[in-house]
Amino acid sequence: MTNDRCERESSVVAATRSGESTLELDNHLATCAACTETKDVTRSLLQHAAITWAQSQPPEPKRIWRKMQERRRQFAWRRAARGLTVMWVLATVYFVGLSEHYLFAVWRTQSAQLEVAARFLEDGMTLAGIVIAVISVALGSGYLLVSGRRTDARPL
Amino acid sequence: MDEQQFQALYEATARPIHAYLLGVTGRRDVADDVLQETYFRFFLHRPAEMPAIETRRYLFRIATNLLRDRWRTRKDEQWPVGFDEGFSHDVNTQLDVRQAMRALNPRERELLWLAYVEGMSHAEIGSITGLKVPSVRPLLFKARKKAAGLLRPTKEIS
Repeated sequence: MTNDRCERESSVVAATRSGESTLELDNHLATCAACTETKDVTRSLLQHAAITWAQSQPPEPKRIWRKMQERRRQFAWRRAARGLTVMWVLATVYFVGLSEHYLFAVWRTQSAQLEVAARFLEDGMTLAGIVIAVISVALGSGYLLVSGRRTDARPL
Repeated sequence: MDEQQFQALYEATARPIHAYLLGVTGRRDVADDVLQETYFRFFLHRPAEMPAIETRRYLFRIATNLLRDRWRTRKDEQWPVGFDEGFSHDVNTQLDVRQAMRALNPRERELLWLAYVEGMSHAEIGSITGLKVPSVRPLLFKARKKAAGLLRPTKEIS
């Protein structure tokens, strides 16, 4: 009589679930404490499950579908907003950089040198600004495009 | 997937998953919430092609992970005291399964349900719970022993 584990436990579970046992398995059960215990626990759980199953009323599929659609829209909005946030951050960085350069140039130059500083801003910083703006727009649009495709590919 | 396809899938799979959630948590509100979230996660992350049996297992896995997340934050970990809906008190055997479930920890309830109610193999339980297959056997054995110990005294009295 075994009291610990038995290789035949899975057969016992299957037989208890289906209600179909064999004589050979019944004979084994008479001598195996582990399998008897498995059978008792399985039977109790199946009784418990049968009543749970009978009283389990999952929400209506239409209700779940509606809520999922609503959440999908929110999800898509959040995903799109992430691209805008990236663009907003890049714009802020550019603005801060530009302000710093401009203030630094003003601080360093005397009134006679303001003309030079202005030319510097016109040449270097304006070009840098345009480049950053183009990159921001390209990144943002690219992100929105990819994000949009991804959302379309997985309709709910 | 359109609404009709969803409805077909839901009708084929929702009942056993809902019963599992209800059986493991003992709470209808939690079962409803987790079931809804399960389907939402499924549609967000599902692979393109998936056989029906695999889909069912995948849904069980998502539901189990969601339960685990709730339990990790100590939410709904305890079996509700006042819950008496859907739990048997068999007059012949006097097996009060509800009391036994209350005394078991969440993982033990999960393992027992998947193994004995759903009849899943150790490999399937491993893939659903995230446990390594060799770990399933001793944990299930421990859970079964504990459940048997909790059920036995009332049986012996009868």
